[in-house]
Amino acid sequence: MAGCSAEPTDDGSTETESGSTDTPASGGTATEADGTATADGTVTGTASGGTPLLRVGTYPSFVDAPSSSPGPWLKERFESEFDAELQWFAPESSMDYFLQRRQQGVSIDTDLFLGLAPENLVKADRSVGDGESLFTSVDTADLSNASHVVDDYRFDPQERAIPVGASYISLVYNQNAFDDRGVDAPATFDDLASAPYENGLLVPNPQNSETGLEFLFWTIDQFGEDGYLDYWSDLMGNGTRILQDWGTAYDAYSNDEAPMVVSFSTDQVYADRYDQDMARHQVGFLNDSGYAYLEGAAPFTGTDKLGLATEFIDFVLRPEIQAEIAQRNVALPAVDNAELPSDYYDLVYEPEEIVNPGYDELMGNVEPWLSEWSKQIASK
Amino acid sequence: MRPARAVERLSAPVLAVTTVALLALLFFYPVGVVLVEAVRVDGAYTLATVVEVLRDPFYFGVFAQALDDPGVVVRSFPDYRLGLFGFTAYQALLSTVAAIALGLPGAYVLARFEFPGRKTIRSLTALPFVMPTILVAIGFVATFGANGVVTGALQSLGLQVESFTGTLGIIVLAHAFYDAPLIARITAASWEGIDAEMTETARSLGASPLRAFRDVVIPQLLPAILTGALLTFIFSFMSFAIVLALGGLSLATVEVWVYHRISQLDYGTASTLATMEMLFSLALTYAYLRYEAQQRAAGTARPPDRIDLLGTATKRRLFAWGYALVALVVFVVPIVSLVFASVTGPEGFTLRNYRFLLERQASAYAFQVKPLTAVTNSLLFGAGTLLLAVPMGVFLAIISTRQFRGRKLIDTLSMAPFAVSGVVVGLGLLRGFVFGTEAFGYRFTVTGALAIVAAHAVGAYPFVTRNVAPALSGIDDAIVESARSLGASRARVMFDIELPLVVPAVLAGTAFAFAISIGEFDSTVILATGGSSYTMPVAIERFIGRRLGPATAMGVVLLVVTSVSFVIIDRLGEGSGFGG
Repeated sequence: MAGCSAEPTDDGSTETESGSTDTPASGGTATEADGTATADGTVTGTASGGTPLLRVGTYPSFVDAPSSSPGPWLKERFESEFDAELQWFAPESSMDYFLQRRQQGVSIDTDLFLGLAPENLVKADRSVGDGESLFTSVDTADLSNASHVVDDYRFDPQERAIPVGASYISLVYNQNAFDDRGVDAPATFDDLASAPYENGLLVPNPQNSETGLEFLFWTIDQFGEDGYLDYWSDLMGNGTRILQDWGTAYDAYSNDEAPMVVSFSTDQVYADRYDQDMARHQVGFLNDSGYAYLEGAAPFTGTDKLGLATEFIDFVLRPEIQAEIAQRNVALPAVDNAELPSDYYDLVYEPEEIVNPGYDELMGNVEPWLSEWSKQIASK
Repeated sequence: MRPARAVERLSAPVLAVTTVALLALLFFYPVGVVLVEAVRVDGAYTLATVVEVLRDPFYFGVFAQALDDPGVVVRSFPDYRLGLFGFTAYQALLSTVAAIALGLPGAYVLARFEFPGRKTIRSLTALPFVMPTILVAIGFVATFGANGVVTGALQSLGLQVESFTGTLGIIVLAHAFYDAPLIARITAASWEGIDAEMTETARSLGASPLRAFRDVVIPQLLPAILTGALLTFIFSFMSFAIVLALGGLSLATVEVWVYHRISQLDYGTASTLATMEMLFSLALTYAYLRYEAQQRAAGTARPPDRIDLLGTATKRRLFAWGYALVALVVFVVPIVSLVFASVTGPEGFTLRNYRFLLERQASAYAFQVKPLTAVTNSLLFGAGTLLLAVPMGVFLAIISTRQFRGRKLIDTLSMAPFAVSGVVVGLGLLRGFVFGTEAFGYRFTVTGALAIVAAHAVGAYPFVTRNVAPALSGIDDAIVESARSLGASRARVMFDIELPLVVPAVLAGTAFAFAISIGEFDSTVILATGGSSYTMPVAIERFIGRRLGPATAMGVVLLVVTSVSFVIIDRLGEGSGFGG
């Protein structure tokens, strides 16, 4: 799986050649067996000899989480149905890895990415030249369930990234702790900055964590570009802590370091699965809103397997696959016709208002927003 | 005889060229490619970014303010704005003081007392060093957090404390947790080499025990203490993960910013900050090396008899017992808490987390992390690291005891792997190794085991060097001179006389080199990307989820495997015939 050949320069002592480098199967003729993927021109759906290989990039916990990750199941199911081999590639830095390859002018060697957040896409678009893109688009006409994708979840105006999963950023709080304090759970952003909730909130660092970053976007949506820094000043003055990443923050929360943590509205699905005390896994939205945490799939520009990649995305969008991924990823499906067990939605909370700033609003703003915020928090 | 002579004569230059070539290839080139971004904007060379950072009060506090308005120095006295660099240096200084305060008594107890399990405990002093941040954070939260053992104990004494996490104090203590054992180990090795006769002489001349300690013992320990202090300062200055895991972004260090700017693709600012970090650390190193060279410790020593730790309460024993209690709270409780966390769940005692490891081992997919593979990889890379780092480190130590022009510079540069931002090293390795380097129409990529061992060796050899160099320079010149005058070649003197005399120092360096390899995460995770070369810390990272159980179980595996390794390394050293 190393995906590379190791050969020290100069001294000629050749090391291993692992051979898993995805060399383009040149000369593979486009034989679209089932007639679905016919993206323009040069698509090679299946190579002429042997099983075609589809290399899918994703973030590590999608394939290798300690609880249940959808990756292994998805691979088996896909391979059982298609004459193709699915190879997962999950670098630690997730999409940034591919972006860095691109910036360095090194070939991507991977066909598509699964698990792309809107701000990832914005970052990728911002860092490659005008008119170019790290990602390319599939023809949505080839995606049989595309019309069922929840409209609120669509985040790429160019439709390169197809939504494949969702959740909502919310508070997860400990009701017992609030009972001790004699207060109700906070209902508004202003509550969070008020005395009863002093030393109450743990936030994953937006510099390292999509969860934290989207919470920051959420406050910008509520208080505006001119007001969010003042709000954060109040929030920090009230004893909020910004911890390394989601795992660190959630762990600190689990150890009663604070009664609230910024996490996901699907928290109880997990808590229920492991028989946890539900009072410690209460989900709270703020100002009746919740921030849409979205994940998309998009083919990399330059893939020679756009047809197979399209088939894969089409497969992932199927209602039954969406339902299974959602449960294994402790999240929500991106389509409205996925049938989940009847009690699943008893444990998942959805906000009255979905906050989803959209691509255009994020474009060009993510970096200054985050930088200004970071400087304020760390200033001394 | 002639061929042997030729080998002897050639061995030093060959070793020198190989070491320098390795360093250039594995470290200076990839890191240099990143650091040059500090002075390059859109392909043109400029100091604009550097100037911008220097003038920004966010980074340089009152110094930057004074560049525009010198009056601020007077007006805001003494309440100066620290800036990111000032704060980072401040917390590193506090951490160093704490580590010395915690490490020196440890060295005293290890060097001067006898008690059951002394050698084992001494071997285990390198253990905190291998612990991934996340495990230290878990242990510290369980000890000093809201539900912590120490917090609870203080509360039951009627003290109004809630939690120590989120404060500068807990970060300083965590840095001391990592680095005090290092100071204890290096200093103890030096302490054991102090001749009893010297103190006895001082005493017989009427010096009080305290006076004898201050005037005889301390000066001889100083190089070792300062070595430990220097390393502690550099490590704490470069600290990143522990700050964000236990403190929070409000306590951010420069390294947090390097990471932040790199993730924002702002390589210019990141490289500028990393370069400044590096220059600062290297300047300290240079200053220290000048001092170290002036030190000359005595050679062959007859250490005084050890005091039995158990017995009637004397002043010395009371001190040692008191220290044992502090060490118990700071070092043992966090680690035991971690072990405890691995065998408990909401339902009480459970072996579920270990069962998870067994299941993963049995049924993991090729693209998933297997616990046993992680263990064997870690041990193999550790062994490989020693094969490279110990000769490199010893060789550079030898160079540092020779007199020639520019030696201090080479000496200082050899410390660079410690002084360069881990994030920058990671990025350099990613570009240089993982993505490869183009030459002669080919793209050469080096990933997997070989590159990881190389990266670990580069990170580890300075430990060997800094342990061995003071010991080598402490060897009495007269011994070397007499051997030479009896006809021994320089190399022969080195192998037969000098090296055997510094075996304890080599061993101390070896254990830490091994620890560096086992605990290394930042570059390993990059070089193992998508491959099967993952190590134990990488496995721990992968096993973190909403439940920390599986990660803590893997953490305990890491602790057990490395503990056994340390004991074996130390025991092997004892049996090596050098009489270490």
